[in-house]
Amino acid sequence: MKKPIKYVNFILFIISLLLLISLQSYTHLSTSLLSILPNGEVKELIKNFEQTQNSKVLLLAVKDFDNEALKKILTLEKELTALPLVSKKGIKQNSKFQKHKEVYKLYSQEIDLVKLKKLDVRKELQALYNDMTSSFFPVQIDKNDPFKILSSPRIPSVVLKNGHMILDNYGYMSFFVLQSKSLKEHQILYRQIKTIVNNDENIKVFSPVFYYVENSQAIKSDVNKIILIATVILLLLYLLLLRDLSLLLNTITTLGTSAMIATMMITQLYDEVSIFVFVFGISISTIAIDYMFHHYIHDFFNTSKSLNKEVLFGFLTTVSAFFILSFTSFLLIKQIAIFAMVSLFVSYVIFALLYPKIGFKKFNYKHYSSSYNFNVLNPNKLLLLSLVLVLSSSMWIHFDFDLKNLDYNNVKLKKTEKFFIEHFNAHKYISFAIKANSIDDLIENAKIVQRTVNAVQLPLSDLLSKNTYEHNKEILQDMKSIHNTLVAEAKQLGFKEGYFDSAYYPNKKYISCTLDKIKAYGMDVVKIKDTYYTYGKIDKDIYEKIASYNFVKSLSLKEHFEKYMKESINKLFVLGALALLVIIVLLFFITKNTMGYALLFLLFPLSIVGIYAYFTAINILHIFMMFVILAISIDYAIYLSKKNDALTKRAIGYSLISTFAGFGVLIFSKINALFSMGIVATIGIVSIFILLIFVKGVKHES
Amino acid sequence: MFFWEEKMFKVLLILFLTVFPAFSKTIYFSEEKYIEALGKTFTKKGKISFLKNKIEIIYSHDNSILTYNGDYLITKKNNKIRKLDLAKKPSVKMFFILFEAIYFNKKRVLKTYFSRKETKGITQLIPNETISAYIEGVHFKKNSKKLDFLDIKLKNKDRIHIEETN
Repeated sequence: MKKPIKYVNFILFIISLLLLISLQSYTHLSTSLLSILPNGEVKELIKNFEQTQNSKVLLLAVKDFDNEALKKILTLEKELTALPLVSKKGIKQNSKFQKHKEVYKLYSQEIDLVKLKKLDVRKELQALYNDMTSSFFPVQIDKNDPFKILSSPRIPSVVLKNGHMILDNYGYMSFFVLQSKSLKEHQILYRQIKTIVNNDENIKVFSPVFYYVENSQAIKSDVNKIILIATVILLLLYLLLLRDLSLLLNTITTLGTSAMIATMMITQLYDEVSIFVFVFGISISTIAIDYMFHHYIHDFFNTSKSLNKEVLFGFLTTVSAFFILSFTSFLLIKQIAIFAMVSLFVSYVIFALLYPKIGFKKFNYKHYSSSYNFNVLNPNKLLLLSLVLVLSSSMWIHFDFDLKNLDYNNVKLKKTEKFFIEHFNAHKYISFAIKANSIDDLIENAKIVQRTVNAVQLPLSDLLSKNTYEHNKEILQDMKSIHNTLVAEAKQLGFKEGYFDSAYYPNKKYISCTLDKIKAYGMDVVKIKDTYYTYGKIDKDIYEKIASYNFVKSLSLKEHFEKYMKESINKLFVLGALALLVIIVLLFFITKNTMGYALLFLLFPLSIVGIYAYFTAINILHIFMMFVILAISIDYAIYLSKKNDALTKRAIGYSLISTFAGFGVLIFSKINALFSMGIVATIGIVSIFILLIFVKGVKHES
Repeated sequence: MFFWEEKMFKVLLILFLTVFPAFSKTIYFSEEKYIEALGKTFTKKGKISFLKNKIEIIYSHDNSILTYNGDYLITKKNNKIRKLDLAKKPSVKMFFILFEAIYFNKKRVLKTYFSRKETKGITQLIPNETISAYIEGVHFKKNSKKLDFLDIKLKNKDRIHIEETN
C-alpha cells in the first residue's frame, strides 16, 4: 500500500499541470500595469487609448544642420519606415476631414462678432482684390469666408530647415508611430531600431516603449542574479542540513502544485490578473516550507502522530489574516490574498496529511551544546519597547505611492527623454480624454475645451455640432445683407459672377456626425458601453484649467494609481488593524499565558520596520512585505509559545534561511521595488533571529 | 495669412527658386498669373538677389521689395513697411531656410514635397499628400544655365507661368 502513495504528490502535480494547460490559465496573466487597476471606466479608457496611434511615438534626432546630417536622418527614416511596425508621423491631412471642414465651415467654427461688427465689406473686398492682383504669388481666398470672420482651425506649428523638421539648437528630427502592442513585439522592434540607429553619439532616439523593454531587461538580469543567489542558499540548506533528496523533490513538487492550483483559481475569478499577483503569490506560497520543516523536524513524517496542532493553528491564523485582507478594494492586494489563501491551503493539506502517509527519513538531529547563554533580553520589557516604537512611528511614517519610484532607475533613457522634453519648449505633455453620451455632445465638449485652452490639439472641435450649427445659423440669418453687399461689390470690382454665392449664406442642412464618419476623418473616438470618448494632449502645467470639467478624464496611469492607492489605503489600514486584532484574539486562545511572548514576534519586527520608516518613505511593496513577515511571525509565535525547545528553534532557523533565500536576497537588487521587499524581509528575518537567540524563553503549561 | 496660404506661398517660392540656376546672384524673371476668382491673367516682372545674410525679391512694376533676414520678412511698398516676425510664423521662416538651402543647390528638398517624372526634357512634379490639397501639379524645363519655363497649377484653378529673362 505504501508504494503507490509515494507517487501521489507527483500525480497531483501532473494533474494540476494538465488542468493549467487545458484551462489556459496563464493566458489571463498580464504584464500591463493596467491590470492592477480595478475594472471600470478609467481602465477601459486607458486600454483603448493604448491602442490608438498617438500612444506610442518614436522620436529621432540627428545632430547638426549640415547636408551630412540631413542625409543621415533621411537614410534613417527610410530604414525605420521599412520596419513593419513603424510608420512616419507626418503633417498630412485627411482629405475627408478637410472636405467636412470646408463644407460646414460656416456652421462649425466660432464667428468673431467683434470683427463682424466692424466689417466694411467694400473696403475689405477692395483690399482683397489689390492683394490678389499685386502679389507675386497667388492669394488663396476662402469662398465661404473671404473676410476671415470665422476662427481658423488650429494647425500645429513646426520648425523646418531644408524641408525637414528640426529641434532648436540641435539638429534634424523626425516623429514615428509604433504599432507594437505586446512586450514581445516591443522587444523585437527595440532590437531592430537599435540595429539601425547603432551607437552613434550624434543620433538620439527615444520612445516610451523603450522603458518597457530596457527596464524589463534590467529587471530580468537582476532577478536572474538574485535567483542564482537564492538557489545556492536553498541548495545548501536542503543538501547540507536536511540531506534528503526525496524530501527536496517532494517539497518543490508540492509548492509547484499549490502555485498552479492557486493560479487556476484566481484566473477563474478574474479575467485579467497582473503578473505581480502571480510573482508575489508564489513568494507567499513559499511560507508553506515552514509547515514542512516543523512537521519534518518534529518527526511527523515517519510516525503515526496526530496532527501537529502548532502548525495547524499557525496556518489558520495566517489564512484568517489573508481572508480579512481579501476584503480590501485594492485589487492587487485582494488577488494576492486570495492566491495566498489557496496556495497555503493546498500546501498545508499536502504537508500535513499526505507527507506522513508517504513517509520520509527521520530528521537526523545533532545537538550542539554551548557554554554561552545568549538569552539575555527580557521579553516583557522588549514587548513594551516594541509597542512604544510601533505607536511612535506613526509620528514620522510617510508614504510614497509614486509608481515610478518602484521601477528600475533607467538613468540613460531618462536623460534622453529629458533631452527631447527640454528641446520641445521645456514642456511635458499629458494625455486626457473627453467623454459624452452622444457624438454631438462629444464634439460640443471638445469645442468647450478648445475655447478654454487654445493650445490644445483636439481636431474633433472642428466638426459640426448641433449647438454650434443652430448658434451660427442664427447669426448667418442676420448676415444676409452682408452677403448681398459682397455679391454686388464683387461683381463691380471684376470678380467672376457667382464666385461669392456661398459666402456667409446659410444654405446647408444640419447633418449629425456618426462614429464611422469620424473614424473616416482619421480621429480617435471610441465607444465604451454607452459613452463616447476622444483623446487629446495638453501641457502638464495647464492641465488644471480643463481638469475641472466633469467630462474631462486624465489618462495618466500614475495619477489614477496614486488616487486609487490613496482611496484604498485607509480601508487597507482598517483591514490590517482588524487582521491584527483577529491574530491577537487567536493568539490569546492558542497561546494563553504565553501570549505576551507570542505578541513579541509580531510587534518587534514591526517596530524595527517603524524605525526604518524614519529614514525612508513607505511604499506599497514595503506594506505588502510587512504582511508576509507578519504572516511568518504568527507561525513562529505559535510554535515557540507552545514548544520553546532547540528543535523548534532549529525548524524556525531553517525556515528563516529559506525565507531569506526567497525574499531577503532581494536586498541585493538595484530595482527599488525588489529592494523594498528585500529590506523589509531582511529586517523581519534579522528581528526574528534576534528574538530566537537573545530573548529569554517562556515556561509552558505542559 | 492662413497656414495653408503661407504653406503654398512657401512651396511655390521654393519651386520657383529651386529650378533656377543656383550659381546666379541675381535672377530676372517674368510671370503670367491666371486668377480664377477674377477670370483674368496678370503679367509681372522682377528680380531675386542673393545677398550676404539676406534674400531680396524686387518687383519692377511697383518697386515693392520683400526682404528676408533670418528673423523677419520685411515688405516695403510705396514707402510703407510691413514687418512679419517669423518666430510667430514658423512655416514662413521654414520657407526661407529652405530657400537658402536651395540657393546652395540642395535638391533633396524637392523630394520632401514631390515625386518627379521626366519626359522629353520637361520635368513633371507630382505633389505628395502633404500639399496635394493646394497644388494640382508642376511642370518645368530648364537647361544648365537658364529656366525655360515653370508652370504651376493650383487646386483652386489658379495657374502661374514663369520664365527666366536673364
